[in-house]
Amino acid sequence: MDTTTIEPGTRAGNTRIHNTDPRFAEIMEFLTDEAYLLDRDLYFDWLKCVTEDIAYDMPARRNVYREDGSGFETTEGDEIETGGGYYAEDYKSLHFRARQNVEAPSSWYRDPAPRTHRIVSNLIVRSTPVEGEFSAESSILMFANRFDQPVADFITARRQDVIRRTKDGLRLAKRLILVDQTLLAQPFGLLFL
Amino acid sequence: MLLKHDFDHAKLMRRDGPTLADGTSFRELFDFEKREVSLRVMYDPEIHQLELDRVFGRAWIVLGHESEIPNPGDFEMRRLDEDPVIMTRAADGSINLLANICPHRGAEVCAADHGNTTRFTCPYHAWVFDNSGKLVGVPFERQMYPPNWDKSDYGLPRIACTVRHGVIFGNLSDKPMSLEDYLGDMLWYFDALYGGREWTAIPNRAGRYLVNANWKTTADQNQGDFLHVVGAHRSSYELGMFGAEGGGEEMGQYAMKISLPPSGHMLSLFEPNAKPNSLQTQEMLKARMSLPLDQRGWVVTIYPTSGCSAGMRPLPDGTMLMTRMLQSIIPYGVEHFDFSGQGVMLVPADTPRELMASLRRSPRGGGTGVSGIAMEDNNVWRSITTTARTPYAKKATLKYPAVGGPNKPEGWQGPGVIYDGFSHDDSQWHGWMHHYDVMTAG
Repeated sequence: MDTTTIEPGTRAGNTRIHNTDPRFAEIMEFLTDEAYLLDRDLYFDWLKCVTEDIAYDMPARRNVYREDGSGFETTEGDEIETGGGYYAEDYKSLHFRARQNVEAPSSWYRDPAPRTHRIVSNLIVRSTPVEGEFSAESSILMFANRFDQPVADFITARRQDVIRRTKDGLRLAKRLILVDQTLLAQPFGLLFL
Repeated sequence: MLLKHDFDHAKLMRRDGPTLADGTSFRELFDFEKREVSLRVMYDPEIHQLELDRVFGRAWIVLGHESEIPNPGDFEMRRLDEDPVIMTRAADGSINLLANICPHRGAEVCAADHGNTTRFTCPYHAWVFDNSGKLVGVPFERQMYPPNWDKSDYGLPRIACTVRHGVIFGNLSDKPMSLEDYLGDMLWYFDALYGGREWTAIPNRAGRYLVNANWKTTADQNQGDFLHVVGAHRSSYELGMFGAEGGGEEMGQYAMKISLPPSGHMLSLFEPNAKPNSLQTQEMLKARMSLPLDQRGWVVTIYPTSGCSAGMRPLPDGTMLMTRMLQSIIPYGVEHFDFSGQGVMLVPADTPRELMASLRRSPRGGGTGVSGIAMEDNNVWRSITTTARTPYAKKATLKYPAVGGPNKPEGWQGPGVIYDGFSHDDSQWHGWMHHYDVMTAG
């Protein structure tokens, strides 16, 4: 069954790559490994999974009537606006955030480390017009807790990725994170999704 | 410790203010001699209720900018402290603030954060209101109500609204003082920063999130706490964000802070790379006095929770673009607030269209969103609110012992008590004195 896409930002017309295709499993493994690295604070290892021209965005979402769309600001061409929100990153700024996470001796907020758990699922893979690049959409559920907080905060989002096959393997070239909440329970700052 | 030329403490010290359920008077929460405030104010549901009336019930609070609702029918849901307010433009072009409470049986008439509509229809009994709050239609009017039933008695509650230089202020009071009176000496600076040109909002809203802390933790810091940079943001020095990597601890403590008693507002200009008493600082001072006031980066705090900051952003061609940031911290109860929720960034309305189309709240990689710096602050505010909740909090105090005294640069023409130089605790104590003033006023 091929799902008709109604989610914003997805290019219609790309060929579905089904879960019987070995590339589907390869991409699922890539996303699983990525989540593993982030849950273990291995930010610089995670940076090796992204391309130097990475565009990493997580726009803000608003609660709007159905006729006004899905709640993300869009351009006139119905592309989702980036540049505000929670993240609007390139490689350099992701690298700096990685340093903020683990490198400064006085990162009081980051030590003790919060405990995070990322669950990645609901993968849909499509080819793209660019040779060697795939469109991968997945769901993420991340729990985060600190101190003796008995109930973790959580966040859910849909990620729309472009994954590129390079000579060193698969790499994340673009990520647009479409969050479900319009008001997050906590900042989830510096915790990449 | 009582510095007469800074503030008129004597008048305030004569007031006891309200008495809390355990018999403590508000007066007992403050030590004017030592400049201390009881930690319990940072988490006391009873004090919070008093604040909702005495502080938020009378304050002019920034809700947004007229360029966010340019067309008739445009609406944005905003919060005036804890009260949801519909900010909307009526058919006649006027900007109206309406409480989101149907006058019939109390349901919410607006369910979305923004949009465009000329009619707000209540989902309960289908009463219909226009963008000025006027009740324009009810089902079965003839069958239900007497012939002389007057619809004008049943409009959506209107909230006092004043727009100045495009900035929209709201006030919950039935008889608010004028915005000019409320701004007091801040008016001089506000007009200098916002008057004289038209501004327009650029897209890309900030992401909203709750900080698990009392609103006063951030409001206190916004009254000129520069010292916290060496503590909470020490990692930023270590990572080279301010000055040279591993730079001296004096960096970032040099500021011009302007308190504006009795208004409770203040503004500050800080020089992250300035070392006190250095040649570099002398040059910065000279530059500051020679540049127009609106071409520097000011952090503007309007009591209790509004910000109207001014900045400059470098453009690709090397020129600088003026920016203005409007923001109101929104309390969600005694131990949460939304830090960025009502933030909007403005640029001059005559910015060339091609440039405008490319402007983002933050260029890619420009450090938008929930930065490490925000996290460091949030963590501390959460921490204070946590300790304030304990029984011991009644014995602990917030302390402001660093006295610098006013220091006005020669030739400075603006009003206010000016603290120029190495930052001390004086401006924050002004903030607390104003809070005391408001909480104990009749």
